[in-house]
Amino acid sequence: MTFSRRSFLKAFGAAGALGALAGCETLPKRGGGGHVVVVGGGFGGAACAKYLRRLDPSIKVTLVDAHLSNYYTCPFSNLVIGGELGMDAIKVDYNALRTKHGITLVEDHVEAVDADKRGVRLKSGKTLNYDKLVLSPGIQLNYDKIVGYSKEAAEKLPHAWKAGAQTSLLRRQLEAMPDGGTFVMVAPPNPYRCPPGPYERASLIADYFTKHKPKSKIIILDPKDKFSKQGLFVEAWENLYGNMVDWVNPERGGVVASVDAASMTVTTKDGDKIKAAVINVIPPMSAGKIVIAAGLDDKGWAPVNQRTFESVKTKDIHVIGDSSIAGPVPKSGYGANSEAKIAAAAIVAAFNGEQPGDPKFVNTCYSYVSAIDAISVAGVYELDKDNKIIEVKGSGGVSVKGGAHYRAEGLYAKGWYESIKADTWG
Amino acid sequence: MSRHTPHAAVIAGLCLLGAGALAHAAPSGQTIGFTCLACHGDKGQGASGIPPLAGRSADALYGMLSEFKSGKRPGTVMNRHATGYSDEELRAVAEYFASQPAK
Ligand SMILES: Cc1cc2nc3c(=O)[nH]c(=O)nc-3n(C[C@H](O)[C@H](O)[C@H](O)COP(=O)(O)OP(=O)(O)OC[C@H]3O[C@@H](n4cnc5c(N)ncnc54)[C@H](O)[C@@H]3O)c2cc1C
Ligand code: HEC
Repeated sequence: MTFSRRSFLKAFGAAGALGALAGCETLPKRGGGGHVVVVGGGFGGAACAKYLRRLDPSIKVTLVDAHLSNYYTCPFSNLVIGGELGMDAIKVDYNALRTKHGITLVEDHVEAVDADKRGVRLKSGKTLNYDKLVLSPGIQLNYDKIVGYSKEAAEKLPHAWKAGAQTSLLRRQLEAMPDGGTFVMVAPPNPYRCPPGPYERASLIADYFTKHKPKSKIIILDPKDKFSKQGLFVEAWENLYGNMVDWVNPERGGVVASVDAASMTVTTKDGDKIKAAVINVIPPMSAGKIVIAAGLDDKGWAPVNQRTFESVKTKDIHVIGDSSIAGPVPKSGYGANSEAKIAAAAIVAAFNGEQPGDPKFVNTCYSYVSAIDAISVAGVYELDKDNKIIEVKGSGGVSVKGGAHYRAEGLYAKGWYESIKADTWG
Repeated sequence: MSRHTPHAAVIAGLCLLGAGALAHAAPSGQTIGFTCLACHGDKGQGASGIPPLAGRSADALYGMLSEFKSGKRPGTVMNRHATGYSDEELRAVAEYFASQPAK
């Protein structure tokens, strides 16, 4: 481990000595200073910005996001699509990050990263310089991977995989759909943001149809042979919705060849044409555009040091959240929040000339199978000898089958949502 | 290296050794505790039926966590989390929440 003179002096200065006297583990104020620019104020970026300041208030943090005034959470957006919640329930308020945590907020789009000059160039023309850069830009949707799909086509065939206008569009289409109509979902291939998300969405639409449009049908066209919490989802669909939900795997013709917005049809690879009233296309995805533009990806996702989430390609740039490759940790809001805290601790350690301690990562994805019942998948992760993230043996797993806990989990899921929002933006 | 006081250097050096300058330190109670906040409230104060943790006795918290881990104490999700930690880690996170102000 090498010290720069600056970090050595700072780490071993007065604050370091006081910290040492008070005990080595819990240094509230380390005093190493430094400027961190965080790009993306979603689950990963906002949590990282906040925890950097919490762990070392001497660090200056600037958070840049193109959507500070209209960021909506994907978690709980399926409840909006099912008609259980309004859009305001999933909107995020960024004020506390500024007023309570002293983070500088910049609403702008980051166009380019200049790693040599340690700067990011904004759409407004300004450049922000950093000592460390954190990228948490979420995902980019690869519209062109599906014939007939595009950003324009998504105005008629919504993906609703980034919450906001797309979420309300899909909701309005479902409301306008006649009873007896068909809803088709084109499910994405692995890896993608929120593995159980498509199936939670199908569940909540089935709940809505059962209550308001009981003659309607749901078809999920899936390029995957299996999916997250499958056993629990399928059991719940049969118990709650009879045969309303038809999950079509590749063997039964689930692989989609093209979509056509004009005729509202989906054509499968096997040549079947399915006409539908509402079509939800969730295309293949990759790391956020800025990660790829900065050359930080490997086949679309960013490889990172699993202890610090620093890019293995470029020094002093950390990539967290959906964009990063984190082994078995799924691309979820919970995962992003967990990675954010580890990256923040690693950056604080680096500024102060310390070694970061061993990390521990956690994920839990609650999914509603109806408006009030939820199931969950959980995992606890750590590093193995080779610094690879592994799931702790014997930990994690899915809810007990059969439904005894689903009502309670439906309540706890709300507690989770309140907590993670407050932990990230509060 | 010659510009800081010897006193600070000695203490800081000891600290680095103690905290594992050569090897990485085990996950701290704080590192583990931070992961629980996304469910148990941003200050460990609990939320919507999920019980509070902050300011409770370390022994009581550790006792419950051990029982979630062994399966003796039933839960909807805590058994799946508690099995992710060694007994030392559960002790450390119990101490962490005991040291936090109750809300
Ligand atoms: C329907 C659905 C349901 C979900 N449900 C759950 C759930 O129940 N639980 C769960 O844990 N997860 C859930 N997720 C997953 C969760 O939403 C993501 O994993 C999480 O948002 C990832 O966080 P992130 O920080 O990587 O990206 P995001 O939260 O997407 O944040 C990225 C931010 O970066 C900004 N940005 C990107 N590029 C730039 C740029 N160049 N310049 C400026 N700003 C930029 C964007 O505007 C955005 O605000 C769900 C996802 C979906 C789609
Ligand atoms: C996914 C959400 C979630 C996470 C993550 C989580 N908990 Fe819990 N916790 C719960 C729920 C829900 C309960 C109620 C018991 C149950 O249903 O499992 C609970 C109960 C507890 C209890 C029992 C309290 C009592 O008074 O009965 C303790 C102690 C506890 N959790 C500690 C922790 C610690 C420590 C962590 C982090 C290592 C943690 N929990 C992570 C949701 C969570």
